[in-house]
Amino acid sequence: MKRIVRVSSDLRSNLVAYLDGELDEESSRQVEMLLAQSEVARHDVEMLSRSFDLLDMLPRENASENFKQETMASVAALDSKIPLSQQQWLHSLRKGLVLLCCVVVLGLAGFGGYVAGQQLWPTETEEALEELPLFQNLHHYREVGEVEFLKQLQQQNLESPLQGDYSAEAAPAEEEEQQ
Amino acid sequence: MVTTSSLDLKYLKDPDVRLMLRVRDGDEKAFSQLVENYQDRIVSIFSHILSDHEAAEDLAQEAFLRVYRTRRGYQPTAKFSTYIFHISNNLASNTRRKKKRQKEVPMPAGKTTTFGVRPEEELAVEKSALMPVRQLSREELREQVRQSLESLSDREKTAILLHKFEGMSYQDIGVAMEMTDAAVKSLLARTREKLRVILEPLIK
Repeated sequence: MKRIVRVSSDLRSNLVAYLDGELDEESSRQVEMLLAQSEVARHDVEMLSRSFDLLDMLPRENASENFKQETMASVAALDSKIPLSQQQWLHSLRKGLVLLCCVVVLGLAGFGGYVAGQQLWPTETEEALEELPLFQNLHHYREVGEVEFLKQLQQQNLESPLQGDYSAEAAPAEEEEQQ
Repeated sequence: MVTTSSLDLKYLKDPDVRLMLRVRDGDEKAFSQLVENYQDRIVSIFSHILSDHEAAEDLAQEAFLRVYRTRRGYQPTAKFSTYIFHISNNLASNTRRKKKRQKEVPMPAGKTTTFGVRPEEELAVEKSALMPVRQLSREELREQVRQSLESLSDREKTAILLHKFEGMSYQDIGVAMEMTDAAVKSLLARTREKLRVILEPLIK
């Protein structure tokens, strides 16, 4: 018994894809079910296939015998007038310049870092110079012994041995020690 | 030197992709080989699209020159056939746009073109010479098929030719014609349906 099944537009477009082997498994199964049920669909598929096969009758036009030679001659002509932007040496020069710029930038960054480091972190000599008064008055601090005592002196408005120039005081002491 | 970091290695299996990579590295012989491999295929497609053999050869040559000019930036992101037919499709589109701008009179659909005859077809004609009625019928049928192709739009024609004669998948046609797979499916379904309607009366 013949069964007439209406072919939806989606399924219709799937018929071509089915013939071309471009459908996934599920869609292929749907098309096969349709083909099993619908004589109209079977007829459509056959006509689609046979009309496509007729295209084989179209002549396949080949290139003329000298096509390759002419093309290669055009290529040779092209090579002789390569624009400046495509010259190999320009590409190399560009790469070299980029590399040089990178080196310069890195060098500047390194120098800047060194200078900044010098400013931010003093050397041992600078640290020693900064602490020179401390070393010069070290014998006073040893005699005082405690910080609390110095604070008491400060509170009594007495001149702290930390203030002022102690180099003059230190010198006689050293002389006394030598004697 | 071939850098493969950003490339899909599967395309490197394509021998024409490997030839093109040699072209990129300055090997002119490799380019000559590519021209030989593709000249007939591209001229044939252009001949059907333009219905003019001479114009087809000019355009095919321009396609090859474009491949050569852009060789240094070549990256194998598709099969070489897809790559060159993408370039060819762009060239054909540009040519069509120029023609429209110049308001040239299009060649009538029924006009005889300068298509040549393949050896196997020559043989078929020789065999059919003994059967004049059948030979006439075959020629008529061929003309009908040619006219049915002429009745298609340029996009439909390009898609059907790439599918029929190049055996390209929907995906490859999509890449060549800058369309999605779904759009290719729809375009080919529409085109095949048109051909079916025109050619069905001729099918016994």
